[in-house]
Amino acid sequence: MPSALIIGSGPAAAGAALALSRQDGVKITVLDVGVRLEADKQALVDDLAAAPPQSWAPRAIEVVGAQPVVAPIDAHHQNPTDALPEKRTYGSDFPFRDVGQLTGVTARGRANGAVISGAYGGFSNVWGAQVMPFTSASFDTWPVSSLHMEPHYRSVLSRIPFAAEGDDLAALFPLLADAAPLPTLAPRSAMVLDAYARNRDHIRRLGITMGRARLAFDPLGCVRCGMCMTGCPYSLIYSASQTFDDLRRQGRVDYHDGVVAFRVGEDADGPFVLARSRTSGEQHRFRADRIFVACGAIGTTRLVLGSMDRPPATVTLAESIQFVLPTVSLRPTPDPRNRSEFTLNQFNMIVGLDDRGLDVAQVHFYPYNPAYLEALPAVLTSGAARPVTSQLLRRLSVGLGYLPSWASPRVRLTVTRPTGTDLPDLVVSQDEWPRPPMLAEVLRRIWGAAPRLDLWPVTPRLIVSGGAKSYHFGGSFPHRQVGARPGPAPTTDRLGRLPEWERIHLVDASVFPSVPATTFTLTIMANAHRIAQESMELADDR
Amino acid sequence: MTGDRPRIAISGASGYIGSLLLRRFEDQGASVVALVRSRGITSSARRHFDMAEPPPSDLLAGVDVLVHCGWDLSLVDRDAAWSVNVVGTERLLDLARRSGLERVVFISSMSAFDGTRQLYGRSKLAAERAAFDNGAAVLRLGLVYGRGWGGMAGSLKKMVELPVTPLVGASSRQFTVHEDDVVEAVARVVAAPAVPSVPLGIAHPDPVTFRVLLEGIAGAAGTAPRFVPFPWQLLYGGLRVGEALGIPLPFRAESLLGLVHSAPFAPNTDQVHALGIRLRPFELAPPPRPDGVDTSLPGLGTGSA
Repeated sequence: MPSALIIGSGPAAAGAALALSRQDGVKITVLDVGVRLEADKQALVDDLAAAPPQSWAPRAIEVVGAQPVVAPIDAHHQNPTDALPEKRTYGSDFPFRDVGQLTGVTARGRANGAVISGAYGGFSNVWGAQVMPFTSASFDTWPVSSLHMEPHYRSVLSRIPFAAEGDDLAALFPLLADAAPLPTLAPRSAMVLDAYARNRDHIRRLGITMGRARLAFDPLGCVRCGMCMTGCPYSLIYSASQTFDDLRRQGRVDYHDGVVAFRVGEDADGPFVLARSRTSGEQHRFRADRIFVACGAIGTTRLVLGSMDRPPATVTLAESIQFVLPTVSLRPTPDPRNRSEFTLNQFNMIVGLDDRGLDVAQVHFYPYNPAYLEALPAVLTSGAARPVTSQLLRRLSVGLGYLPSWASPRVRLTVTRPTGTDLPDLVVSQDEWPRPPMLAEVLRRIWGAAPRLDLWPVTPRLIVSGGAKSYHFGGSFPHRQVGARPGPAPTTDRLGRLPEWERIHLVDASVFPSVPATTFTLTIMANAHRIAQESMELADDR
Repeated sequence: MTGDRPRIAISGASGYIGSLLLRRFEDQGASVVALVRSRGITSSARRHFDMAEPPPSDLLAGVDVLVHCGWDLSLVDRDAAWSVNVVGTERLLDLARRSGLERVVFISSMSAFDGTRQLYGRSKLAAERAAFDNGAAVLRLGLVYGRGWGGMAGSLKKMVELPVTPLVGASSRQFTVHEDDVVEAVARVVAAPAVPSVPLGIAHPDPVTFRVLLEGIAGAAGTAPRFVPFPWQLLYGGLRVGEALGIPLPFRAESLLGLVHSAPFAPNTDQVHALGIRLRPFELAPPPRPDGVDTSLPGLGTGSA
């Protein structure tokens, strides 16, 4: 029986597992650190999930709905004062917590060091759930065309919840699958999209296209309790752990948690993984016909650097850098604190600087959630200022924007201690860069559309996040061009294989040749799905 | 590789160093592709490449070796200079890596050293990092002089031809390299079986003072300059003001900063030597005598080996 081993349980691992599980007779083993939500918090979530919001206990809401926090200053968090706080899921930091997978990883300057998740489901426990394909032009620098990717996008979308609607965005980002409609939008979102519809031709001449969010989310069960951003009590937002829960229930995967992989390699008996138990420290060797490495771009990079005979001393990753752009509108909507909404991203703005869909920035707009209030200056939240706060919240929306990696500084990983019997120590930093020039052009166009959309950017409050904070990074071992030979710097073929290995495939964003500003995770899943499917279809080449 | 000879692409092929390399490789009978900014006629030997734009994915198709000399020195705005040169280099070298080139050579500068204050030096340093990440060889050229009178040497020649030559930072020391030695060094690095992942100082290890440099250039140009000591800070301020006003100037403020705060040493000269690269000390020939007899230095002049 052919066998496959996946390291990790995040989106790339789920994409690979979905492809492998479709192949009859393939034995699938998953190795994972596998950190989960604490039992007491899980019990509270279970209580909430079993009842309608009207009967939820205030204490449970308070614990499970904990707001993002400014993480403690430690090796992984440098916390410049302008950094975005770190999200919490069901009141827990488990997606970011170091249980060994981050030990030896430190951040320098404004860079973020909490870059490898040990959680069951990885960082998909805290993601924005936005799912769109890359534009066709984004694949120009890939050895795979959008046509080749399309069936893999479709396969993935058919196996995850999907809420979306056809609109102007579909010209650049085809829907590719049947979708459930989104819940009713918040008044502010509806007002902006109405303004776009009325002024569409003018706004599109600025290179701006708008449309509703596309979410890996089941809208049919949504009760609009307003807790999307802190963890849906009904688990309606997709996490890769759900895929593994399903496959484990079906008996399709053999799942081993509590292990940290520290070495991969090939010997006369084929590919292997060395992993250590988190609790006992005991070392285990696992084997399979093919190994799929899906530890997240930096986790995979670290594992590979520790496994290569002659690893480079530094590696850089392409990052689609993130910026936070508050906006205000002149026309107010009702005070959002008195309403109940779904609070994931509701609408998107695409700012295209070319006609091909390549030089594209994207801004996701979020309706009010309690984190807004916490981010306001203290003077605005004191008693006397309450009327002002209310007026502000009636006009405020926040955009989370991204620039493509080719217009963003790169993330640098420097090996400070080569591997001994463990993973190498790494420093995460960001290369010196000016403020990205593309950002100025994007803001200029948003300003151009502001009078017609009634959506005015508050540019003095714009924050450009530090390195690796967007979590949209990859390309440490990029796919080579079609027909290209391996050169002196490490690259992978279209099956994610480094020159030194025949049956070890990197399947996460570590192999992305570029990271466009459009949403990231669906392409990670689809590319992993493609690699897993194509490699298992290879003839036995040994 | 086509046949036994590699196909060599040269960016910045219209510039001082790029054009010298183009001629050298063509004379050798190599297959050369000039990557040039102008959008004129493109052919198998000439492709359009603008550092300000993402390179087309087939830019390096069929190419085995890339020598990246391109650098836009006309930009004075910090952000623009950085985004065109550093980002443009990152994009080109990333493409070279994914195109599977056998050898990539990045032409850097002795201005790139830890602690440099010059934007040019810092941006070359940043581009060097991208070069190492992509497996490229990095050559830090000293102040290049020779018959071509390009680059900094060309600017200094204009200075010594002025009625009065301001002598700034007279005791600052410059590492120099003859243009023929640069061409030879690049050819050797292209042909070497392996190149160390360290910056290679392509300059004679003994620096010369700025006064000696200017006197040498003046001698070669056949002028007798009148030096007037001048505080560099004043000249630097004047150049900055001129640049801010958009006045075309023969000398960039950045270049002056590079002259007065120069590199402390030429890096890794032992590894340069191990590659078989030989670099001559600074000496410039006087101009040819009117009777046509060439008095060039050995190795420089007509008929010399």
